[in-house]
Amino acid sequence: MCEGIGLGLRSPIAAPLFDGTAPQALRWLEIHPENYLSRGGRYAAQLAQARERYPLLTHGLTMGFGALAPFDASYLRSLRALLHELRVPWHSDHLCFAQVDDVYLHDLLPLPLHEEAIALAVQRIHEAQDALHVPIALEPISWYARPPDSPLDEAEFIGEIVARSGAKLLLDVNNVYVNAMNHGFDARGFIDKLPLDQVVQLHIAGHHLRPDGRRIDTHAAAISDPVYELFDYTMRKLARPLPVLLERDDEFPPFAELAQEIERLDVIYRGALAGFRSRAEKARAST
Amino acid sequence: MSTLAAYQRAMVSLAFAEDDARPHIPGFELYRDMIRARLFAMAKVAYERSFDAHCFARYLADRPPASPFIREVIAGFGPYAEREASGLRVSLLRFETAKWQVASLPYPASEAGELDFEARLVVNPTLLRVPLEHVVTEDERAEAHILLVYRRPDDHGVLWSRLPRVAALLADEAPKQKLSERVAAYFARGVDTADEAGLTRLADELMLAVERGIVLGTEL
Repeated sequence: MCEGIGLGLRSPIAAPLFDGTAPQALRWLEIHPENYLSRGGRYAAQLAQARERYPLLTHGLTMGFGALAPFDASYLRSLRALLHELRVPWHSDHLCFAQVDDVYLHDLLPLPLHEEAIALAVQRIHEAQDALHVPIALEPISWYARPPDSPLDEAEFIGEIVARSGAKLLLDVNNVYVNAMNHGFDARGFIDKLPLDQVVQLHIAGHHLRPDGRRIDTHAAAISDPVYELFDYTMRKLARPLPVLLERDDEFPPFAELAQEIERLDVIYRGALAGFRSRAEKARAST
Repeated sequence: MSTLAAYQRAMVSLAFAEDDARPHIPGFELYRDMIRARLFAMAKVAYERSFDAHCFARYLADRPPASPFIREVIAGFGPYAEREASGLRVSLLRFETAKWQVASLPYPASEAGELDFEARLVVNPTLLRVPLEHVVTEDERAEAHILLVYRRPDDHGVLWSRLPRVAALLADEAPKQKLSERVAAYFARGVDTADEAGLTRLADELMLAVERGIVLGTEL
């Protein structure tokens, strides 16, 4: 079972993951299938090394469950083969659109928060699960502009899709924080409204604060203190073991700094679980 | 067209139209910047000697990304840019496209034994033969030649080599031919003198190609 703190496998930080210098707290790795499908060379070698040493989870970048364009059948075939080979418990991708007709945006664009988008996402999640033969975990994105015709509340929108599709949820704590700060809502209140029983995985990352006050989810900075606090809050709400990913995609620091972040996350993670276990034991003793 | 479809299509124009044709969608300009920054940054890495920002902007507008693999989007820039390039730049674009592609090509396992003239050649599965009009790896003089670009299985770096005789030997795209038949075709094309000296020159270069991992041997 994959649980505890994980790290995204990226070439610039691959070496310490395999030479024994990674911290004990690092339990698993996450890969973007797009980086490995039909690919040889350095990437294939790193994936082989990763498989030998760590449990792996997969996190896609292009399926976008709110796209109107049909899934790329060839991509789905290759992805299915990879997921089967890696024996992942679920595959995650984003609640957004990243493809329009035959064009790939190579970014995560926000969906209008309305019924048509809900129905579309539910249909595509079912299609993806049928094609891939693994459960889908849905990651709500960070967004920087509210699409037109969005009458629904975001948490309500997510909850409705999860309820109707049966999808699992990948909750990115940094996304919630960035959105809350950019759009002026309460991050904890937002988390409270989500279907937390469906959360199977967490993401956490650093973000960039622009001079104009807008926060951008870059995965290119250290995790900020308020995001650590929100992670602690989320873990205490979830109160169960699950995989937590530190995402770092750019501006890589010396690995020791990432190791410190992993260890700090692990302390929070274990603290939240210890509290839960202690309460559970007390409850058992009292009955 | 539904409003959802109209909205999604507007984002494509926002992301990939050239500056003077981009739609103005209040609040969404940041997405254009983020999408383009990622693609431009990667293209600059791939085409470190031949990158042209204006040409890349035209490429995105004319051929918006059609692959879920960003590496394939970047690889498409070279052939696109070649249409409006001339001289040395054509060769640089071809060379840098080949390097980018070879870095990611799968390296399927293949068995090969020592060179046997009565067996088929086994060539490095990542090998690309790149026709160039200028030298791009030393000076930049005009000289038509084939550059062999490849990767060894245990070496993730991309390598390249001229080896003109081996390039000519591999030129006919006839993988089913035995080595002896390829050699006969090579001499029939007048690449070298069909005598012992010519054969020696070819054999020497072929051995070098084996040492460098360009030719793996012949089928067992």
